[in-house]
Formats: sequence, C-alpha cells, structure tokens
Amino acid sequence: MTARPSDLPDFEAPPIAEVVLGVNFTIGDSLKVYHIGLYRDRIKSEFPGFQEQPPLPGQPLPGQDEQGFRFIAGPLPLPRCWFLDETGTKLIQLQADRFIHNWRKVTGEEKYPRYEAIRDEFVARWDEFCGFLGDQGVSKPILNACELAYVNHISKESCWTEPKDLGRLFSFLATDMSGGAGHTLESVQCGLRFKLPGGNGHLNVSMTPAVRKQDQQEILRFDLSARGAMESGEEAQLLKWFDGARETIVRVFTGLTTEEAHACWKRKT
Amino acid sequence: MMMVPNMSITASQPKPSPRGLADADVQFRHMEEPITDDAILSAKFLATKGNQAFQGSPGHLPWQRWAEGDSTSTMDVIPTTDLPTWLRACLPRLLRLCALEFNWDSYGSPPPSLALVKGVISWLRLAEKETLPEPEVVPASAGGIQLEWYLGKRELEIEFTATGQIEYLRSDNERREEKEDVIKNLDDLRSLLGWLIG
Repeated sequence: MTARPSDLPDFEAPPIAEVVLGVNFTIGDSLKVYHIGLYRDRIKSEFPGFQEQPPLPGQPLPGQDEQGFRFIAGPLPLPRCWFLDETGTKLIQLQADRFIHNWRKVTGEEKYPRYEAIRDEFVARWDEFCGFLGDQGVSKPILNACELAYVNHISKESCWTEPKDLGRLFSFLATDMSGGAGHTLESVQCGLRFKLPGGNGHLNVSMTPAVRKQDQQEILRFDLSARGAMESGEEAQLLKWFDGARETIVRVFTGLTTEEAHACWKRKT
Repeated sequence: MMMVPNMSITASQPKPSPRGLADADVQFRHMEEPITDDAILSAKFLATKGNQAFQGSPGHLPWQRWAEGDSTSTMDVIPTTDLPTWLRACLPRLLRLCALEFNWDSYGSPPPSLALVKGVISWLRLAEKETLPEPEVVPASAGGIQLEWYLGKRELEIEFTATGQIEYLRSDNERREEKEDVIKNLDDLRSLLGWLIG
C-alpha cells in the first residue's frame, strides 16, 4: 500500500458526505442473476440491506465520447443491486459490469473514516467478490476502468449563507465577477475537468447547489470524480491508481478552495 | 419546440406495476428529427418514476450528466440551480413529504416517493414561470402530491398522482366558475399557471 504523501493537505473536518471506489469489469461468461443472489447470501450477515436500482450505463473510457446516448444490445441488463450494512453508511453496488463500494454519511453525524480505511475495505470486498466468482466457476473479471469519487456537501450556514459568499470559499470564484457593477451572484453551477498525472484518466469536478433529502438542508454539492482505464488487472496497479487519484483529488480540492474555507474545515497540514 | 438534431425520444404509456406504481419504458434512438419539449418532459417524468435506466438528458454537458445521471454517488439530493425562486423555496417542504409515515391519512396511503418529487420539480421547472407565488404543498392520497395556490379571487390546485397523472381544479371566485381536468402536456400546465397570475 502506498503511504500517504507527507505533504498532502489534511483536514480534520472535511465536508465529505460520500466516498466512492469502483471498478468496471468484464467477465467472459457473464454474471447471471442467480450469482447475485448467491453473492448476497455470502455477505448478508454484514450487509443485510438490499435495494434494486437502475443499472448504470457503460462507463466511458478516456478518449471516448461521453456525450450522446448509448443503447444496450444483447441480453437484458441486470439491475444494479445495493447491499447495505445495518447503518446504511457502507454500501456495495453490483451490476453486470460494475463493483462499487460507497462510504456515506446517513445521519450526518458519522465520522469520516479516512480514505485509507475505505480503500482497504474496497480491496477486501473486491477480493472477496473475485473469490466468490472463482467458487462459482466464473472466470476472473478483467478490469477495464476504475473510479474514485469524493462527494462533498458544503451546508448553507456552515461557512456560507448566500451564493455571493462562495467567492470566499472557492479560489476560482474569488473575484468580482460583476465587473465592478455590483451585481449579486445568485447561483453557481459549473464543471471543471483535469487530466490525471501520467495519462491515468481524468478528474471531473462539479459544483451544484442542491437540497438534501435527508434534512432538507440547502447545500453546495462539490464533487471530485476521477476515472481512468486499467491496462492490466493487477491489484497492485489498481491500488496505485486509486492512491494517485486520491492524491490528485485532495490537491485539486485544496487548490480550488481558499484558506478561509480550509480554516472552516480545520486544515491540519 | 426545442431542436435537438440526431436525437429522438419515445416514451410508452405507463404500465401498472405490482406495487401499483407506474413503470415506464423509455427508449432512445438516433434519428434526424427534432423533438418537442413535451417529449423530453414525458421521458424525464416517466423515467424518474419507473425502474428503467434513464441514460442522459438531451443537451446536457458531460459533467452534468455525470453529476446527475451516471453518478455512482448514492446520496439523495436535488439540484436547484435552474429552479425559479418560488420552486426552490418550496423544495424543502416537498422533500419533507417523503418522510411521512405509511398510512399517514389512515386510508393506507404511502408517502410520496422521491421519484415523484423529482418528477414534480421537472414539470414545474420546464413550465418556466418565474414569478409565481409559493404554493401550499400537501400530500395527496395514494402517494400523490398536491400544490395549491390562492391568489386574489383565483385558486388553483394541481395534483401529481403516484401513477403519473396530473390533474387540476381551478376556481374563479369572482365569476363563480370552477373547472377540473387532466393536464396533458406542458402547454396545458403553462396555460394554467399563466391563468393564475394573469
């Protein structure tokens, strides 16, 4: 496992609401619906909750056109199944070509367990899933792509009250965009895209004002989502990619936000 | 009408599911034809109600679609960027309806679903009425949502049912007229909201 870079910014109270680690894979003799049932039996003691969701569409790889519509050919797609732990904070999402592990806040009071713990849990779960497939005589999944996403909820009243305050939190908004005319910023929605170092994919950053269902709180949702192709399915490469993507996400997050915001989130280093 | 080249959407009629909710078949195919606002609206509304995958919205930028459609995030939030002020203001009250207990009305009604709230938001956003007053927001039987406006002598109630129907009752207390009907398309909705403030 890669150690945390000593100069990587660290926050005691980051506004993280959810962290997602996932892989996109293919299996020669595809996953069948009964495999999902059998897999659920295997993890049911730790993940008793179950929900069906619409499947996520195919994950675009770097260089592919992400715009436009896609169609699904061949057999009916499997649903995306959610397996939730008792608290709902840990969740595994499984569909025919995706395996995703989420950590998320449910009550809002949960303490962020940090990236390393979530990554280790993802790796353990992925290994367990691959072992399960082996037990079922299913061929080993071939990794195509991976994703690491940080979803931040910056609550209104935490360090902002009006959209015009966002210039104090985000460095790229920290200018008078009214051109001195004094117009008040009413709303912000934007997206930024960065290349990951070493041609390892892209980091998409999006900012969207929203209302959270859980507590009807107004928030600014600030997502940083890295995706990249995997050239080999080796676990060491997977970990290296996740660690590299995490480092980029943290540095970009820090770069896009101001010292005032860092103080609000109790920056340590 | 919104022109979107090389794209067309068809949406079938809702089909009852075992749970009594409407599922929808939403299909997308590439064609060199324009599509209408109503087609987009129907597809959006139906897609949020059913168990079908809705794989994007015409005209959305990749990062928007990433954030809204393809996201692996599981957090329930509703973007408010392009909502008119009155709709943004009543969004918390709409969301609070989802927290109602089952049988809240003692007639076995479920709470409105988040999917229905999203559908209501989609319709009202596309109506593009910026200057409406905030409506009263009340739960309706069988998991529906009703919005009520009282503006001078005019009253308007719009009910979004859990099966995908939109019904209204409008009253003009000055002329002592009442009318109720089904809202079939976006023009109907715009016309009604225009009548309220007209």
